[in-house]
Amino acid sequence: MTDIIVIVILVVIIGLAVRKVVLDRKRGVTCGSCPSTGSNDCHCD
Amino acid sequence: MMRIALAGNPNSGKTTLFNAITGSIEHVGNWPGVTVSRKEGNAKKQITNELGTVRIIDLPGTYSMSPFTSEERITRDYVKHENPDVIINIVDASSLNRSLFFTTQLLELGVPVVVALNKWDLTGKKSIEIDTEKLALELGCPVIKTTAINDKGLKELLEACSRVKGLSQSAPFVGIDFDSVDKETLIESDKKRHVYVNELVSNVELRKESSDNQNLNDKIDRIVANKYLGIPIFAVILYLVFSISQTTLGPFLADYLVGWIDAFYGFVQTLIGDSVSPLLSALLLDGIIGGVGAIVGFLPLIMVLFFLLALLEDSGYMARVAVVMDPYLKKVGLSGRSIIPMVISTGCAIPGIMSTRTIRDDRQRRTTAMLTSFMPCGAKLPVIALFAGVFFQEAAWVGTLMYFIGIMIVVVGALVIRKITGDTTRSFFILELPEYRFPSFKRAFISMISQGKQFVIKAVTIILISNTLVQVMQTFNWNFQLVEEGMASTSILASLAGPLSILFIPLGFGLWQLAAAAITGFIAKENVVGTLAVVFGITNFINTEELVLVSGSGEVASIMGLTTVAALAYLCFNLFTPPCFAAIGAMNAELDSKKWLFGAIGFQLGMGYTLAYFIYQIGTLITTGQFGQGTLLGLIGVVIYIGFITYLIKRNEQANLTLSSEGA
Repeated sequence: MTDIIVIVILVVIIGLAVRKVVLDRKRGVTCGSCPSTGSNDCHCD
Repeated sequence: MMRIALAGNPNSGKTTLFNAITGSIEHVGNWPGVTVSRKEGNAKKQITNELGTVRIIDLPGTYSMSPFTSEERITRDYVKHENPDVIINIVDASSLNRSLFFTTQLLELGVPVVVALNKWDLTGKKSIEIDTEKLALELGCPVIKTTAINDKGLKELLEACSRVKGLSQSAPFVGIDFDSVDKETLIESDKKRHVYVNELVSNVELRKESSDNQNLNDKIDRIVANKYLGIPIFAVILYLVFSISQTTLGPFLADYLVGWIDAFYGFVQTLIGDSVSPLLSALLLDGIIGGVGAIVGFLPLIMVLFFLLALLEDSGYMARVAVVMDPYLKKVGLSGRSIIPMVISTGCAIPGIMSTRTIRDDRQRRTTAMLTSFMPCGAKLPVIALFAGVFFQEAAWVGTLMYFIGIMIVVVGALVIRKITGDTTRSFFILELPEYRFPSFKRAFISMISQGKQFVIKAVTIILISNTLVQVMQTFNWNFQLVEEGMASTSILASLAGPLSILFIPLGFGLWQLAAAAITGFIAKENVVGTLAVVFGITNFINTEELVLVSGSGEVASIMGLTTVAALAYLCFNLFTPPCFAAIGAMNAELDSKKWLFGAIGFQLGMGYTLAYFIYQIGTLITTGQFGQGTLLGLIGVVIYIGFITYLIKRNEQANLTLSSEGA
């Protein structure tokens, strides 16, 4: 396995993680047991 | 599309009905006040049949339409201003008398109402007979029998909604408009409504009181809610929960998971071999797989714990804990009402802090929002499990102790805040105790899966990003050159955490690695474990062969360079300083005051530091015969903290004295 492949793997993994965090923040969902999960008036973040 | 709002008294089963109709897995609790904001979802296709899309809105429980608390306001505003097509009024069939008061108010709004006579299964057990046809006739709306926990009556309920949609119903009792009258007139009107409801119930309900049934509940309550026995019983139950989740079943399951993570680590290591640069290899193996794996390894412990806590909550026991704690909390200016946010906080502090909005008294609400995060949440459990396993032979008592320290800090904190604010108002706490019932394994399983899923998502997102950053900061120095072997203290991470670690010398953990882990813990508490794994190069903390969780491991302990006493101090520091940033954000929203927010953060920082200081210094004195390092430096910090609090209390007392002398 070459450096390039590992770099691609790292970029994909970290990119997906960042994407998920950003999307969740936009949706206002930060916690599973939060009573507002999924609703628009969540202000956890 | 048909829009249906679910409204009813607290603990009538609204969220259970909402979950049953929509297939959601919203958190339900066998006590009032779990839902504090509205939730929406579409009804499942197998229930709606030809009804088309049915949108369900779950509203918080309320006893009346009078806007006294925020959850009452949410319900009232929604029903009055957003015009749902139909309202399903969930009525606890075993408690008609209390529930129909709200029903008669709903029927006045002009929106078609369908009454769901929920918990129908309990009527048989309690020998209650209800003439549902007569009730429907008296109320002027359809009445459908439902048992939400068994998915019974759901189809009939939605069909009834479809039938009444667009029709007008006449209210059987017309009161006054509570927006346009004063409180006294409202009370008078409510009295008349009560009389009407009592007559109505006596016409449709026949109760053959089952004294055996009542006595069984009472008998159990006499023991578990006893003034003297209540707390010891709670301690024993908590200890058992921790024994099962942290020392027996949890680690047993964790062994398998860690084995798989290890195998995966080995597989990737073999795959990349020596052909990849050491930096990239370390990032992938130690930063991502090792760091995330170290936390995910604790997943079975967390899931077992949440399963057991869900069983306890579902059985009705947790509501009794609130009653048991009430007299003690009342003495420090709180009430049993504050217990509900604290119990919710054992899952996650964010919903716990949010649920404080149901507390009416402003100071009590803010105090609870400020203190509730002291209860160890799910994110803190891996930290507890790691230290309990590595440094203490019996892991179970460590976890139990942390919960009780959390409660003690809440009590002390509430007392201090009461003294500082000078508010001596005593509040009353009325909680409707749910019936004891055999807990549902299905609901506990759903709760466990939901918590587990969130734990994993957090591990592969926030924790993964944090671990990668920690790995990068540990690998490079400020000139972005690779840190040479043996020169770890020149890394970016060490230079950032190093100066702070001086402050931790009096607490027994002056290493920059431990300081770095504590700091990353503010992003998410699981990060403490993840960062320790990355900075010390330990890929897993639960290894059946080398690092048996419950038997302690000198190896890990020696790598961390901590004594047992210092480890306990470090654990307490991480648990009882401010929570993660997300929880601080929730605190900011609920406290609604920058003064309170900064006061809360300062109080939490000082509390964690002081507690860790005393544990380390006194513990070291007892175990070695002399104080630990940095006694004087730490003492200065502790004296400043305690001195400042004393000053605030004295200032308030002085202000009160001045006021009373002016009054005289």
